[in-house]
Amino acid sequence: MAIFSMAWQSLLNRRFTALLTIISIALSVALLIGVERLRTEARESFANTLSGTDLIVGARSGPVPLLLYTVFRIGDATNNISWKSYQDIAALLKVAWSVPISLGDSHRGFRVLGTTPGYFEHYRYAHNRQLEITKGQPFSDLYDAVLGAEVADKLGYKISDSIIVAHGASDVSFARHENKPFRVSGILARTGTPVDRTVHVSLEAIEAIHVDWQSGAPIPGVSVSAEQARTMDLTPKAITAALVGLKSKVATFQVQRFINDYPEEPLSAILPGVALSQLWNLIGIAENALLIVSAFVVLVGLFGMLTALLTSLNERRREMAILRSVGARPGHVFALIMGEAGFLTLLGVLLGMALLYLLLLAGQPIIESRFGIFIELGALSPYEWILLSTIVGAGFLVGSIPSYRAYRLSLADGLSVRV
Amino acid sequence: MRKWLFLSLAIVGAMTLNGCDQLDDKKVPSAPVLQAEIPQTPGDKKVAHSEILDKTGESDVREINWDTLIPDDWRPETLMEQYNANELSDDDPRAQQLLEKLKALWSQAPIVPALEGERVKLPGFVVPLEMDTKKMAQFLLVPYYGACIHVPPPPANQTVHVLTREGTAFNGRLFDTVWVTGTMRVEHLSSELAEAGYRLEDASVTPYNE
Repeated sequence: MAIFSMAWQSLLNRRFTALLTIISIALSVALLIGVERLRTEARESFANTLSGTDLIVGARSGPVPLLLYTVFRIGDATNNISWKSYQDIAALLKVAWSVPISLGDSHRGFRVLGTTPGYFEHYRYAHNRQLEITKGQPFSDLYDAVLGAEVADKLGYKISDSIIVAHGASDVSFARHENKPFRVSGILARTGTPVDRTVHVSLEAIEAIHVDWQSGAPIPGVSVSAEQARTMDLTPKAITAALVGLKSKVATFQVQRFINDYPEEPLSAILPGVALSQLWNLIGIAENALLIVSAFVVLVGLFGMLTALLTSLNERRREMAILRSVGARPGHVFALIMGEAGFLTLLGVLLGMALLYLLLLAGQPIIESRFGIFIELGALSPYEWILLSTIVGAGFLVGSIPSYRAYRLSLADGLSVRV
Repeated sequence: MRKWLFLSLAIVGAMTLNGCDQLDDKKVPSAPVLQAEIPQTPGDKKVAHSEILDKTGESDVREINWDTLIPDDWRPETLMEQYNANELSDDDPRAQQLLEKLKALWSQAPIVPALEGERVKLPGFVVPLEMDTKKMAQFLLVPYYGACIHVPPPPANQTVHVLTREGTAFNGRLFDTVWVTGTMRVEHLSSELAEAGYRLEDASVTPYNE
């Protein structure tokens, strides 16, 4: 036991360098596991956003942009598709259901999505889970809106509150559809998907707020009141995209081909799973680069420890000599340095994990509201355990260098050390 | 540490190699010649049955290839001969006609009803149907790499809808090469057009190796 307390006292004597070593290891560990955690959580979060939809149909563009703007509300649509094309696709024999989506407006930074009540029935997330309305009901009136959980929470809306939709997608907007306020009719349960940050209204409502906006701006002198708009023909002329479910999955490629070859309008149909895989292929390279960089940061942290231990050896030669004089064997000296290296690494890893969880706890709401990625503060994954134990193992490996040196020195020096 | 680094480097390498533009028309090699002659009637089946013991320990599984899924008498190439396709210039109206006919024939894609209920093993590429590829309870199996991204996609009789055995979700990626063992079901897509496709139920998935 005495040897432990002696080792501890010796470490306390060099507490400043020891603390710096621990901090550098902790920071590098927090970075490495943080990068890994963000990577897996982002993937999980993206993968759970949409389920049960066989095809996404939009204007002709690449699969990845189409997926990003329809499902994740990242970026903007390349073009709209005409209502007639949508009707043709919806009427296909192989199509079981279809839900139109109209984007382009916003409410205080949250996207407004025009759709049909079918959206609440057919939209699935995280392995076939249906959207749930916790308060109120889906839209029944023309000017009804259903809010995502985050919208209601952040802006403090209750059922029957009145909201004004702005033209465009910015938080600050000077072009508001002020003469046609909406009434909050329902609030959805939290899903951890972009649905939480969306205001849902009917397709007809999107049409209604734009009846006096013909060429990209309100027509001067022409103002159609909310009540007047009700009497007009509000059949949409165009939508942004559509989610399509098929009767049989085998027909997926046939329907996709029909849509891609649709002669009247250039359209794209994508398989959500394939488009997401393509996105990961793209991002995967950057992700791995980031992982490699953070692995090197850990390496640098361990080298810092190596330097600290090696330089300390010289000033500790007398300490070793005294230890030898009271009966410590060279093997004891080796174990002493080794134990110290292991202890520093272990403490660094523990501190790093504590730091990471603290950061994740603090950053969780920010990441969710900014990027829509919900980070779960779960236990360590098997892969993270492997990473951590590799670091501890590497710590011992690095520690063996100064340990071996101390062992040799203590053999050579014996008691006749001259410092 | 070093091992792990090598691993990530290898992953980066693999990622760049797997890029979609690198399409080398990778085709699943056809099954051994032994299975080339396929019995068309259920009665013949027992004779030509090559019983293999599959990795999952199942016996009584027939290893098939993608040609097995196309009826013997369905030959779009006879149409080519009939039109003398090589002698037609691109501007020839008959060339257009031929193309349309080929398209129509291709989209019919008849199936082999005799396969219904048979336990088969088939190699192919995975096309995920859901966004979560870690827990795929179902996916589409196609005979060539790049299907669904590049036109034309495979016809209905060259696409198999795989439903994995309950509780054994497959963890994979787009265009993973796999062996799928399952019970073949013939699925009718629409009653009006007499279209049908294949579904493999109760399937187990193993990595493909030659």
